[in-house]
Amino acid sequence: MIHRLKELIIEKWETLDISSKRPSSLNILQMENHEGGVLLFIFKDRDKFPFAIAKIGLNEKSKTLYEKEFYNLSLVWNSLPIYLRKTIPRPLFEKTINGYYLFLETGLKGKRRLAEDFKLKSLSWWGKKRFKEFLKKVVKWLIEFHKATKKEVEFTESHIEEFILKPIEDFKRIYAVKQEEETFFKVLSEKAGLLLERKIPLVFSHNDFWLGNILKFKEEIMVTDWELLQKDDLPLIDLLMLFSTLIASKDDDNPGSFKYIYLEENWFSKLRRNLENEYLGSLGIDSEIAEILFYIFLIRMSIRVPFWRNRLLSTHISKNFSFSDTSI
Amino acid sequence: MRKINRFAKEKGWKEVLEERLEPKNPVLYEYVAGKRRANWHLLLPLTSESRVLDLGAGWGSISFLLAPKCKEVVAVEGIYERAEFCEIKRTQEGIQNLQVIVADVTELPLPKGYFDLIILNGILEWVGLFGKEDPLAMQRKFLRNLWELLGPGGYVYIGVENRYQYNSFFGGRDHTGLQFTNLMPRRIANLYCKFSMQNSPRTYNRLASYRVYTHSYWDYKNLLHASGFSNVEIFAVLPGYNNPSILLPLDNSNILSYYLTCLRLFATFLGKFLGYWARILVKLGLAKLLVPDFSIIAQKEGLNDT
Repeated sequence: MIHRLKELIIEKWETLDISSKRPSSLNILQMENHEGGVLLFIFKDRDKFPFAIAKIGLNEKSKTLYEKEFYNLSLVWNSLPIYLRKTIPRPLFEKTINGYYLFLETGLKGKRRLAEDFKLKSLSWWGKKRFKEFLKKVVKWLIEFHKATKKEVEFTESHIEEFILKPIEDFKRIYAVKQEEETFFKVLSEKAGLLLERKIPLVFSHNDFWLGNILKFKEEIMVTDWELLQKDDLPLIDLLMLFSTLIASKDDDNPGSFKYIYLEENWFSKLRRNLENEYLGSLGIDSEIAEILFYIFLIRMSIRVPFWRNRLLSTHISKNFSFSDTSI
Repeated sequence: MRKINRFAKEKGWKEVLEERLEPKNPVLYEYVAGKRRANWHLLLPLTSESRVLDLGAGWGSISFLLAPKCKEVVAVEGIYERAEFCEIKRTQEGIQNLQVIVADVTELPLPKGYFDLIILNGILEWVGLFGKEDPLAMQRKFLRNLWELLGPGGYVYIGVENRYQYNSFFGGRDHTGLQFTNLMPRRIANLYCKFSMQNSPRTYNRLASYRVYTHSYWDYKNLLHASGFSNVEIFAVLPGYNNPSILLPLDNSNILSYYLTCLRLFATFLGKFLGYWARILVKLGLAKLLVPDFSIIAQKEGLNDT
C-alpha cells in the first residue's frame, strides 16, 4: 500500500505545491495511532522533518475519524488568513488505496511537549520562566486563531438550547445525577438566561487543545490533530482545556492537578488569570459569561471523560470557588 | 491449549479467549487477538489477488488479519493444538480463503512459485532446531526453499530479534534461557549450552547445543542475499516484532533522530537519560547495531503479476 502511496505522491508532486524539487526517494516512518489508525511520516530524500503525514484508517472507526479530520482540516485551512495557515497542516488529498481510506497533510516542523515536562509544583525558576514564555506564545496563537474565526452573534433561545441545555441533558443521560449536581444544573440553566440577547463571539474550537497537539519550532507555535474541530462553538473552551490538562506534580492525580490549577492560590494562578484576562479582553467576553462557559466546559469534558465529573463536583460544590473571582 | 480448544468448540473462540485468557494472561491475549499484529503489511504491495503463506502461524493472528485483504492465505503450524485452534476459529468465522496445515516448516508440500508473500514471524531463529547440520547453513537452505515457493517479485517478511540487541548487554536472556549466549562466539555459546542446566523459556526443555541463531543487521542482509533475495529493507520494530506499533527504517539516521527528538518523548529522568544516549548512538550510526527487534522485507527479483 505504501508503494502505491509513494507512486501517487510522485505523480501528483507538481499539484501538491510543496515548493521543493521532486524527490529522488521517499522514506517512511510508520507509527500506530489511536482507534486502529496508522500514521505515516513521509520524508523526502534525507530531510530532517517529514514534508507530509498520511493518516490511514485500518478499520471503520479510524476511517470515520480521519474522514472527519480531513474535512475539518480543509474547513479550517480555508477559513484562516495566510499568516495563520502556516501554523497548521495543509490538507493535500484524500484517497482510498487497497480498501483503506487515507488522507495526506503537510508535515509541520517542531517538537511536541508533554504535560509531564512542566510539572507546575516542581518547576525551577528557569523552568517557570521558559514555561511562561511558551504558554504566552500558545495563548497568543489561540487569540489570533479565535479572532480570525469569530462570528459575533446575538444569543437566542436556540443557542441556549444547543450550548447549555443539551450538554446538561447528555450528562443526565450518561450518569445517575447526584442531588448537588441537579441543584447546580438548575442554577446554571437559570444563569444561562443572562446570555439572552447578548453579543457573544462564536469561534472555531480545536476541542483537543492540549500540549500534545501543540508543536514549537524556534519561536513559532503550530497546532495539529483537528479531528474534533467544532465550527461556531463557544469561546474560551480551548483555553480552559489547555490549562486544565496541565500537571501539578508527579504524584498528583487528576483532581489534585485541577485543584492546584483552579482552586488554589499559587504562582501559576497569577499567570493563568493574566492569560485568561488577556484572552477574554481580546474577544470582548465579560466575567459573568466566562463563568458560565467554564461550567459548560466541565460538563462537556465530563461527558467525554468520566473523571472530569469529579472536577465539576470539586468546583461547583466548593463554597469559596467562583470562576469569575479567580479570573477577573 | 487442549482445554481452550475444547471450550472454543463449545462456546466460541472469542468468548473463550475473553473469559479464560484475557484475565489470566493479557500479554498472550494481545498476542493471540491483537489487531495490530500485521500492521507491517502496509509496507508491501498486497492486493486482493495476493497469495500468502504464513509459516509458524501459531494461533493464526496474522493469517486471520491478512485473509480479508488477500486471495488466499495458507497458515502452516507445527503444533497440532495451535493449528486446531486456527481451524476452529476459521470454521466459526466462516473464512473460505484460509487453509490451515499442520506441517514441519522445513518440508513444505507446496507448489513452487505460487506465493506473493511468505511470513516468518519469530521462526527463522528456530530453524537450526529442525535438523543436525550447521544452523546457519540450515537457515540459508530454508530461505532458499522459500525463495523457490515465491513467485517472481514476491516478498518475504521476517520478524526476528537482533543478535546484538542492547538489553542482552544488561543480562537479557537469549532464546536458550541463558544470558549472553547470543553475544558469544557460536562455539563458546555451544559449550556453554552443553554445561548449562537452564531450560529454554520457549521450548520448555534444555537446549544441549547452541542452535538458535539470531544475527546482526548486516548478517541478516548477507543471509538474505546469499539465499537469492534482493531489495532487502530492515526496520527497527517497536516495541517488538509481535507488537509492531512503530516501524523505523534503519538506513535513514535523520528519521531515527526525528523519532527520538520529536515523537518519542521521555517523561522520566531515566527516560531522558536513555533518550540522550539513543540520540548519540543514532548520530554515530550505531542504532542498527543495538535495536531489539527487526522487521525485514526482501524481494525475489522479477515482475509481480498481482
